[in-house]
Amino acid sequence: MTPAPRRPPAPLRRLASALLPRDDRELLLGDLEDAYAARCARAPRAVAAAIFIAEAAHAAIGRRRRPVTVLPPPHKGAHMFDSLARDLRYGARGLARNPGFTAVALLSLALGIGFNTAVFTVVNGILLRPLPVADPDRLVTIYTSEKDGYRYATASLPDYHDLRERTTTLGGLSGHSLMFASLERDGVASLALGELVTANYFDVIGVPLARGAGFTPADDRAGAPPAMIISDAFWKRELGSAPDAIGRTVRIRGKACTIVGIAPPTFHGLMPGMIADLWLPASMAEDVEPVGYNASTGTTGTTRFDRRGQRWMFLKGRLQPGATVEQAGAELSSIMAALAADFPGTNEGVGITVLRADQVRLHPELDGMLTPLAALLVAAVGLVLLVACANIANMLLARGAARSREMAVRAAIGAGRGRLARQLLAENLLLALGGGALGTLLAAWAVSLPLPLPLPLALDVAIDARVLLFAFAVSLTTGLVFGLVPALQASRPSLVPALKGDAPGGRASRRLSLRSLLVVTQVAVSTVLVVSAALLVRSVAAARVIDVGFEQRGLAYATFAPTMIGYEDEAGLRFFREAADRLRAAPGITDAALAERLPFSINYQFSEFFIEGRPDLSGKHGLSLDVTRVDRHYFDTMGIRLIEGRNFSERDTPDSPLVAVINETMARRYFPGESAVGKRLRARTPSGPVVDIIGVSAAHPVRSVGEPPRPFIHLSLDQRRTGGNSLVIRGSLPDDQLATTLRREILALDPRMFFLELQPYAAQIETTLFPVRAGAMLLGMVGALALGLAAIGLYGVLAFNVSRRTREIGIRMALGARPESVLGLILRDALTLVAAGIVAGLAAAWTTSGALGSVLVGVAPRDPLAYGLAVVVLLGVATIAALIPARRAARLDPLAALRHA
Amino acid sequence: MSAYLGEFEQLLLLALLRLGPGAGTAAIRDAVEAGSGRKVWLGAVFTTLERLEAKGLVRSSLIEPSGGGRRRKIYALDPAGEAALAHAYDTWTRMTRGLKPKLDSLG
Repeated sequence: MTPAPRRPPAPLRRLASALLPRDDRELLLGDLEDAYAARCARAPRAVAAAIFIAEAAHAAIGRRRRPVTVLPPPHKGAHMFDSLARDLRYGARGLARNPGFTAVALLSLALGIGFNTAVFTVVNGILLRPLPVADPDRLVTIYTSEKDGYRYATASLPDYHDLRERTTTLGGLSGHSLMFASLERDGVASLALGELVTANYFDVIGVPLARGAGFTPADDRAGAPPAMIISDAFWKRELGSAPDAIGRTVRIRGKACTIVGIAPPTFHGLMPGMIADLWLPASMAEDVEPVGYNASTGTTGTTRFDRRGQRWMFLKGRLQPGATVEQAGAELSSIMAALAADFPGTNEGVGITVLRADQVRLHPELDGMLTPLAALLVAAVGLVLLVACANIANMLLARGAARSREMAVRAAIGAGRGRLARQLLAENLLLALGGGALGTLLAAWAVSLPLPLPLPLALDVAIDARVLLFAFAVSLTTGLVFGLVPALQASRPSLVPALKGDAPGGRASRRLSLRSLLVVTQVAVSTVLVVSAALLVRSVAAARVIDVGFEQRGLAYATFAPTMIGYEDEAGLRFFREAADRLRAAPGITDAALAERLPFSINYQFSEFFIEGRPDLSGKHGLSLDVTRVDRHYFDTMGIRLIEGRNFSERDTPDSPLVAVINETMARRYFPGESAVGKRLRARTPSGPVVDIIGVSAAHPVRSVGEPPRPFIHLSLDQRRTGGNSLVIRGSLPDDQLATTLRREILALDPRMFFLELQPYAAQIETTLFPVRAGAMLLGMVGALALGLAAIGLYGVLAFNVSRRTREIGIRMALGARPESVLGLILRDALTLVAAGIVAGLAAAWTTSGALGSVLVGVAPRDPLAYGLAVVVLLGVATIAALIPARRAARLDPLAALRHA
Repeated sequence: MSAYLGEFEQLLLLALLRLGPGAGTAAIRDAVEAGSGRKVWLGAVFTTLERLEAKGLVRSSLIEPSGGGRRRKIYALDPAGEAALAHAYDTWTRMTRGLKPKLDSLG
């Protein structure tokens, strides 16, 4: 017996069935399914399914494309769904008759709804999705509080152990911390995002592993054999879903870690919005880079395992049955008070805050800022959608005016008003749902774009059921909002004038002015956005040629950490020095230098300094100044001039007095009218280590291109035994080859090394322009969206005007008006609206231009070129939008226009 | 006297002649697509076959598939359809006789 032929999925069959007219439904479906089965044999099933639906839709429209002006009366006892399906079919036909209108309406709806859905997807991923744990209302988050009143800090491991041993209100207490681990696979190292957790983590939060036994209590002990739990995604991506993955090993910082579990596919860790790939026991903290609050007070140990003052873990506890959050808070606070008495050096004044875990999203403090921000964002994009709705309503009103005769004929032969309104509403709903579907696809595409970040951060935002529901609800609401008024309006034709061909006039003028106002506002808003986008674009261009204080071409740098692949601290710095020596000998390289922090890197470092003998300048807490450590080759390599004094030299060793080169800005500010060389600084406290100022260097921007000059201190890296972070080289090779040479020479020293950053210096400077460029892109996109909507709005109003004035135009033409003058008539209307909008927009942009001033580099906030550019773009788009209805008016056949009557 | 046949109608009748009695809509469509090289909507085939049936050129019968699935219509040429096709074919051959060299010389 042959297998039953393949049939399309049931939902598709039902959809096709609803689309098709009742009379032929059964047979057409049979044929369509035949065709589907045949196509499945030679094409992917998705293609066959798509063609199935397309053919069903085509058949539904095609079968009905007969001159039907009057809907058949409803069958007696007809099911409501049948009548809705009939309305939808009729609506689809109506829309197919006007492909231009349908396309424009669908596009603007897709943009509006897509924009909303994308924003909601992000908000949902970060703020709304429930915690991926069992009984989230019985899970608590525990923060430590500081003396200074800060209430939401992380906890240290020793405190965690004491809390866990003494608590009776919690059935389990676990700790976790975000981490970056260096992973080695097939000799290639890469950075993975994960969580460092206590062994009981998965048990406490109630997430059963998909495979494997997981961690055991022994994993919490230092020196336990390295174990790891991996995410479902990691298992599929890196291990090809190998069934024997449990027991295999993955190397992390040179250590072979045995996989003891695979998390369920739905679990991405407890950091909202981020996707963790692996979980390691907290006992491996020294092998990875944990990210926590990391406050260190009165350190009492040597590692983060025994330092009670080093707080780096988030705590999650499971309430005992019957225990409340308040009881847990009181109990843990009293335990903490006892610890403060035992360990005053680290724990004095440290308290406890306990919150229900499902009431915290990112962090209690961030939540307070994020929630209103998210609400504002949703409201703002909602406004965009509302404008899109208003525009479509306008177009529908214009269309309704054109269809008033059709409606009047129907009403005259007995269609009730409700019937007509329902019919029109169905048509609008169809539009809205179509726009919603397109918009959702658009949103799915938008949120899948990779983040332009230099870190392996994957944002956990995806289209889920909640997002789909949101998009559906928004589409339905949208359909009602833009469709109701036009539907009611059009379904209430005043029979006699409409049948005679008089367009609805009368009260139109007041509505018209409201509509015009809407268009003017849209044009004004677009103007502001387009001007801002133009300013940012100009700024990006200008920043490329700005002077950064040293020649950025011919420079490349690498940032890496030998300690992450197992080097001891001192060997790490030795590795840096060896690499620099090796590079200085490489062909095409003129110099190489080491630095803890390079200009424009996001690695900001500050330190407190006191200027000796000047307590008036330093204040009680000292001056918090930007600082770096560089070796003696640094100034030559970077091409930063020394203005005064001497450079670091071989005489500066760990055993000689500490020395510093300060920049000109600092010298001028703190030693005006005298030489800074020979003056002394004190580090950290007024009686801290003495630092001699031996030189003054030329000032250059430190954090971002175009910033005002700031004091900057260079300490000597040659006076340290550990450290190192970046290696920078200068050479005569092209920038790309410099970076290649840098990589080659370092890998020749140790092929296991991996780079946190490795690029031409110019690329780094580009990165600091990221906010400006991202802003330019975002504003450009929003500006284009606003402009598109404004154009559609303008088109709607003009189209409505033209349809309302058909007879007037006909009479004008009959009396001898030429097409050009009619064209001019309509264009004049359009330009009046557009000019009003542009003027208002320019004024608004001019007065608010200061707000952009802080991000603009090398461009004045009132740059005439940007303003001019914006005006040209706006006028161009507006003219195109206006030309369509204007040409329609100019091409009117005067006889037909008059016969309308 | 035969009914006038549109081009698409001719294509369907030719396909039906080729396939023999018992062909379904989907098979006819495939034959037309294969022979003419153009994409054809199933709905158009369905509608046109309905028209041809109304003109009395094809006959249809409903069959209940034994292995599940839906009822479907299968078609066969009516003698009138065969006659119309033969007539059209004769017309075509008469009208095209000796024209090939002329057509080729145009290219």
